[in-house]
Amino acid sequence: MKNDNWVKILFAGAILMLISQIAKIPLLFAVSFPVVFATWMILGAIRKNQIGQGLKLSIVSLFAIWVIGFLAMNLMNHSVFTKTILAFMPGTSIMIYLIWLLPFFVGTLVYSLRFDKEYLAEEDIKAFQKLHKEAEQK
Amino acid sequence: MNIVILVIILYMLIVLGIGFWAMKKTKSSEDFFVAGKQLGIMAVAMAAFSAAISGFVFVGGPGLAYKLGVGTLWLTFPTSISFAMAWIILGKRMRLLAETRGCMTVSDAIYARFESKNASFLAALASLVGLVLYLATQISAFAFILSPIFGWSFKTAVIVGMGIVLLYSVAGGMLAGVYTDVFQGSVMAVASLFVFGYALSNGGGMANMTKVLAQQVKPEFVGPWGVLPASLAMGWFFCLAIGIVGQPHIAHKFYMIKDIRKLKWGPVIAAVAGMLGGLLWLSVGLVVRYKVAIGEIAALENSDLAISVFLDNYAPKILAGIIYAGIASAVMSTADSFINLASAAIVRDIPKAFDKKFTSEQELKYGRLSVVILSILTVIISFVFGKSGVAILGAFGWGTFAAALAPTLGIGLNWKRATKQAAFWSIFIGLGLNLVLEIGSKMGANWYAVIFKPLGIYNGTFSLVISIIVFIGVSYLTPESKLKEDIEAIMNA
Repeated sequence: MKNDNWVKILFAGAILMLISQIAKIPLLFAVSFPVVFATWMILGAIRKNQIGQGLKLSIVSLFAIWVIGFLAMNLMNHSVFTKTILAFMPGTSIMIYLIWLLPFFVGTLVYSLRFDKEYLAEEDIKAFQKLHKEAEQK
Repeated sequence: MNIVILVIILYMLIVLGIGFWAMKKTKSSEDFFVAGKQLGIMAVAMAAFSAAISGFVFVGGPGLAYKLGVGTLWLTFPTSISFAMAWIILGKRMRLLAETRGCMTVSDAIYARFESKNASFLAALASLVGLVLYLATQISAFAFILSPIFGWSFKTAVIVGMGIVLLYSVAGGMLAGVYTDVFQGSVMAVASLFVFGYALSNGGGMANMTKVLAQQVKPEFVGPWGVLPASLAMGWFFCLAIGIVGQPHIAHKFYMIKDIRKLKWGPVIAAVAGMLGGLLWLSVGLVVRYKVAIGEIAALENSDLAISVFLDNYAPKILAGIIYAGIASAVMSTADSFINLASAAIVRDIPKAFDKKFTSEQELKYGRLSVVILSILTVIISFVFGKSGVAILGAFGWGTFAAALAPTLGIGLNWKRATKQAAFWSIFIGLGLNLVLEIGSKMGANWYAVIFKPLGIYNGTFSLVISIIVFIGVSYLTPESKLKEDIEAIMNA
């Protein structure tokens, strides 16, 4: 998909976020802000009109984590203490382990591991340096 | 307390030593503003982490957690992914801009992309406003930490703190800031892990603290939103995550990398350090509140003292000294970055909008002079607003940058259809709206209380969303411009 179409999706996501804030609909906020995050990251990850498989999977996974995690936290009742799961109340466990810890592995680490193949390959650097030299000579 | 003061002094001597070493290497404005563009990835990553975190996490964070519960962690939890976001969205293109156009500031990047003096002038103005506010946050954090140790009043500590930063910044510029960031950032990341361990052991474990606080305070306190509305907590997460793209003190770090290939491991290093800081935020705030809940200590008069209370009563003295010194030097090196960026806005970006350009020697001279003026302004703001709370003042700064700059930089550098008119209006509305909302909120304005307060939202998020909509909407409504060949190549890379 071209950049323009991703920008349109980002635009739609932002409008939904605005509506959710004005109309006080946390559930709508919870599903619309991941749209903004994911499309913005896609814009950055696109290289020659394509995104690498690793980065694509990473962004899709992050989108799923955010939507599922934030919807779950919004739907749960946090006003009653029943038990702890991995040392925290159930909703807080989702916050800590799903929203905080997991994106490090699924997002940040994947970016570094796929960097050379999908973000900035050696041939891109050489092509750019050649272009830069030609521009300087002009 | 003597061991604490000794450790602080020793730590400070090391940090000042690094600062003066950097001074000898600072010979040009390029050295002063972008550390000569010669840094390795460890330096850049730790500098990015330290710029993002600093006094905000180590002082304001535990204070907020003490007062409002676990939900305040949404302010720091984005670190596990936000650095990767910044690297993916901006890293490559900012570094290529540095190479092709000699960019040294965010305003330079905006001018290179859009060829608009109006947009770059506004970006410089937004940077200046946000940076001075952020600087006030850092100095206030410094004052909160050191005033009880040395027996100073808050105002005296502000003046001492700003004086040290002034000495440091005038001498060594960005080089001083970055190399001390590597030292103190590494120390703080490791020390945070030890603090987390001590906090857990003093609280009888996280499960125990969760149970006691749920019963003695209220269950929501240890729930994912704390005692905050869900919309505010999620708003914090959103703005503190994607808003990183608009933070000049982070975006600017990409200019300093020696080799573009070094972008590879940057976010991992910064994220690990940030997440360790998050552990400190979580554990210290909760354990101090736990101690109050079980009657072991009295309730705090000012929640920003949570970290001091914990270190003074429950941590070994050497660790306390390291953390205090680490916080103080974290503040200093972050403040150094801010003040140098603000100085760059004054001597490079704003004159450029009026077709005035100084020589490298003039930029260095005037840069140092503007640092002095900005220091005085910061002291005034700290006196007036510092007691409002360190973390809230930090959020004011972050939200201002996010709303003003994130769409122009983050979307503008990745979307050829974006126009200079969109950049101008997005920055103008983002900056103006966020400032009006924050001032309205802090001054208790009636219109704010009636219209916005009931929504339970974070002003930065609201302003950022509006800014995104304006940026994209105005782009579609205005004619597309032809890009210069090198800018097009950068956007295709």
